[in-house]
Amino acid sequence: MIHDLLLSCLTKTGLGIQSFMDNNAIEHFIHPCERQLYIEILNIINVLQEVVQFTVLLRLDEDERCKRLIMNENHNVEELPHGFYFINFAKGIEAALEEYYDNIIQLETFCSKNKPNSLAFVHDALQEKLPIFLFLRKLICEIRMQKLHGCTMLHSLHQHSEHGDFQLERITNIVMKPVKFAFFSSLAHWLIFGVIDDVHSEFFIKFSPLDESSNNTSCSKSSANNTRLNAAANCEDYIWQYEINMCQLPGFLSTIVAEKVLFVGQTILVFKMGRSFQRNNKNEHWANNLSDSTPNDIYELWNGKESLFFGMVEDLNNDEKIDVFHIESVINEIKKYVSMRLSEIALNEVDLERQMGLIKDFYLLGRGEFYLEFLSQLTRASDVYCDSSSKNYTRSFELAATVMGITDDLENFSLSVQKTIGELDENSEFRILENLHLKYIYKWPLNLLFSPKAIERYNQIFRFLLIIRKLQYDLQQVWKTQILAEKLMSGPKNMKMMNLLNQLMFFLNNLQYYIQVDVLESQFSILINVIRKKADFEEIQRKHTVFLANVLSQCFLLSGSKDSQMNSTRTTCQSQNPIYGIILELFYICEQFSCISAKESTSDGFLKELDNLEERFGVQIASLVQLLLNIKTASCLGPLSQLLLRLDFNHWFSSTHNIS
Amino acid sequence: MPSEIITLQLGQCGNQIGFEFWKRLCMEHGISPSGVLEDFATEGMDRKDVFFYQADDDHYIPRAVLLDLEPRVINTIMGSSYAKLYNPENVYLSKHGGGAGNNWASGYSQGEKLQEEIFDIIDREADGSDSLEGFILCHSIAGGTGSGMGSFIMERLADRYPKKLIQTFSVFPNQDEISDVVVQPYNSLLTLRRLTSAADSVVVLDNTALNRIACDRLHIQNPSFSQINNLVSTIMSVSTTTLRYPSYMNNNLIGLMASLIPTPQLHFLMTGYTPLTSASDVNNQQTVNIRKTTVLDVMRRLLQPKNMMVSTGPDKTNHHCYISILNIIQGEVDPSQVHKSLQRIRDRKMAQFIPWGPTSIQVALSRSSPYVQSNHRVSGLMLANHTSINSLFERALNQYDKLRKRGAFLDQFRREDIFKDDLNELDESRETVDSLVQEYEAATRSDYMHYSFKRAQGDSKSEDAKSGGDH
Repeated sequence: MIHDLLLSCLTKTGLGIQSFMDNNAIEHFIHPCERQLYIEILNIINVLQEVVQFTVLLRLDEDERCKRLIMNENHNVEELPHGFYFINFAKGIEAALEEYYDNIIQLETFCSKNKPNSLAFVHDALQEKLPIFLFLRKLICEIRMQKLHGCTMLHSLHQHSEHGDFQLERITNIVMKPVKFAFFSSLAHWLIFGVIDDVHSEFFIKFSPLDESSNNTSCSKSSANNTRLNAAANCEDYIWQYEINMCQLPGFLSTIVAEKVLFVGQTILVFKMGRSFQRNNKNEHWANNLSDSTPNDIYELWNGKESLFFGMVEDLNNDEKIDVFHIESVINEIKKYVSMRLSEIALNEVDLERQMGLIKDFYLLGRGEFYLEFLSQLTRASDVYCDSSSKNYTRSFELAATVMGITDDLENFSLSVQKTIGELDENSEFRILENLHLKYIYKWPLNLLFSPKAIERYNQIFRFLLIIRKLQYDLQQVWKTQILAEKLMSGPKNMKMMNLLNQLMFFLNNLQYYIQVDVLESQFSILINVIRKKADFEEIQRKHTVFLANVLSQCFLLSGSKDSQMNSTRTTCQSQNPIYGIILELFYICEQFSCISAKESTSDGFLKELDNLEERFGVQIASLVQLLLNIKTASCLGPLSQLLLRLDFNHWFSSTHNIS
Repeated sequence: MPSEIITLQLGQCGNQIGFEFWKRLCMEHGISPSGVLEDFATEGMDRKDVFFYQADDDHYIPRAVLLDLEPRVINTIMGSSYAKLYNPENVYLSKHGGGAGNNWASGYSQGEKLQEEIFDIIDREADGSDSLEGFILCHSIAGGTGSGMGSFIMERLADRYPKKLIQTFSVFPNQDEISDVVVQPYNSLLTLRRLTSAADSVVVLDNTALNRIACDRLHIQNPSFSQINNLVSTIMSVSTTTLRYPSYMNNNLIGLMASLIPTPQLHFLMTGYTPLTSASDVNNQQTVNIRKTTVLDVMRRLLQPKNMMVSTGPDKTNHHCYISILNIIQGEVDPSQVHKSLQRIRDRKMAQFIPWGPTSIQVALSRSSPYVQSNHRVSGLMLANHTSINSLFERALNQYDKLRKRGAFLDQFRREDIFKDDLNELDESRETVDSLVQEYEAATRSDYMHYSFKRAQGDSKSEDAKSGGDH
């Protein structure tokens, strides 16, 4: 009887002895006094069985699982989570139980030697293990209830590793060990080779393919399976599809550390892409390249230290618990090394400072004379071709580059109109300007700096600046016509028009000075100083992001809605940043003004229109100044007061519109 | 190449300052006196093409036309090491070489006679540029050639190139010393009329102020012409830096002028420059001790009348004000300092502004030449439109009136065609200059827009009447 009992303690499936309860076998073998003990033993074994059952299920391999699924044998299987972490978890539980099995075997030999044995003896031995079973069951329950898997499961285990009960703490560590192993091996693969082999999306960095995001999950799962395939499809941008999976980020790692991990992996991917791949966008070509260049380029990055770092990550396994500080220090060390290497390469080989200079010159309109030429080419082109086709923009851009003799600098830039003309309003030049897109082919390995998001932000600023520039250009042409007409005494002089023109130009000029000097120059000098200090690359990357964010917000381009398309129609203005809304309205007035001035007449209609515009300008500029003043008094926001100072330098707007 | 500018140098003074200007440009762009690009300057991103063009043999040639009626200055230039710089076909000397005798009328009528030859040169030069933006004219208003022939050419240019801008660097005579040119007041007034009507923007270089600055600020007892011209060339070169170097704003003449000149009449600009160093310092190119000037220092000093290159005399009623200001700042500038300086200037009310429109101090941060070493960390040029400039015109009017009352020296004017019948030309000029003085006076008042509105209407009427009378 005892032997049977012990046997069932060892089995993993079913409770044979349960049936003893049903018939009266129990009555035969067990003393009525021991009956209670027997039931208790059964209970303990029940708990154990639950735990064991779970591990058994988890350890089924896929095929079997499917089989069961098809046969609908066990509904639980369907709900059961799967993944390497679970398999490892099961392994861990088994390892934890190993000790218990040994005990039972010992017990068995002991029992077979000694004839008179009481059930209490067995009960004692089992009772001793009960907390472990309960604890394991609790772990399993927790994980199942909260549907934890992957890294978060590790985190849940990690939380228990500080258990006050020494025995349980030890058990946790045993259970955690294989899970930890899975984690560190993914980490090592990502950190050293930039590879994520994560079918069940258990790791805290995930690959989310852009084009398939709308498809069902099974599809993305299969694509995640093979990152290379995707990479080939999306070319260079694919490194940006790796991101931190916040749901899977284990609590013991801060987001900062996670970002570092992401950064290191992305860097490695960049190196994998290799410099040879810079512009050959042909997929198959690249695929070949990848396999060819991988060893060399990664070698270049690691400079023979990859095994050292791999060893460091592997060593983390040897820690009994998860030592957060140790992990962080290893990650930091690797990150530091990688980003220093990257900085070296970026600064020495691609001349990052020069690249940033180019960015400033062309995205941020640092080369004003070039854009002036661009605009005059554009005017000429639309005169010649009589249509404001979007092709003119690209053509004028190239022409201007040739004329200015800076084609070398511009070889990596190209301008295009994103939407076709058919989708745009017929006569609105504004609209085309809003859809301009300046593309920049960055030099390898600056991929990390110019993510598609960053490029889009640059474009946002670019469009904004170009619109100012364009309006300014048009107004200056009006000014020129007026001045020259005065000289020849030919045209009728219209002081009213001149007056409004001056105010509009004043507004545009000062807005531009504000953006170019107060915002761009000062923010850019901060960024360049960081680059000059030869900071590590991650620092540069971070400062670059800060730079962009600051510029956007100080240009009032940062709005809640993601789709911040400029819109000259009045209705949508309100939804955005209020200052930006007013600025748009003012732009609109400027555009109208140069439009009606081009026709130039002294007719009453013209004068009425002029009065109308003047009034609207007054209202808008007054509300802008008022808004800036309010914000200024509310908090001392530097950039806004800078714009206010420029606009209202001689207190003209505030005094004429009675703004206090 | 885009936005090219052709420089015309007229007369003794015009050629002298022009010569200094080109010397300076060559130095800044790394071009040798013979027009060859120096080895150290091949990588520059400066825009040489605005003021120079490249000949087939890679020589850089100034877009300059040198005109004079007497050979002395031009011969000096052609005898200097810079002789090979200029296109010899662009150097025009009258065949008789007798000059204009410091007589405006003589210069004017000689210009009329020689116009075909002169405009052959100018037209050829204009044809050679892809998109000519305008002309810069260097001359003095007191002599004969620069003022007389300059006036004629300005009128013709405005006629012939109605879409091109004309900027002048006009040297006004020194009021503190007695001029050997007795008819100077006539000359000045007649030229001023053309500067008012035919030029789009006039940078006034007042010899009175230049001499004062040389004495007071550079501590030179008797400043020589070359020392004064050095100041002038500094102003000319710095005021064109935004055209010659990549920058985000003020990239062409319109961009420079449009923000400074609110109405067509008010186009006389003052300049100021700080910090000044004597010519010897510049020539030695010793970085004795680079002074730690700050943006605020520079911007504050630029607002002080003693640094202005125009002597306006004391403003007794204290009503004159700035119409517009553009500061071109060069050197190592921390952009955040610009804002602080602006704030400070406004808080301390260091400058008075017009009451009839919005205006502010515009600050353009400009690159400076990497090939010319500066003794100062930061330096700045101010281009300002200030109403007190009318005191200069008032002075010219007073001197004219004194001379005219006595009817002195009118004979030599009557000899020329333009004054053969009557002296209407002088009277009309007086009228123009007087209304210019009134205009600037009106610009100090808050009802200026109203005034100019009315004046514009009145003007066009009288203009109609006049043109009707001519035919």
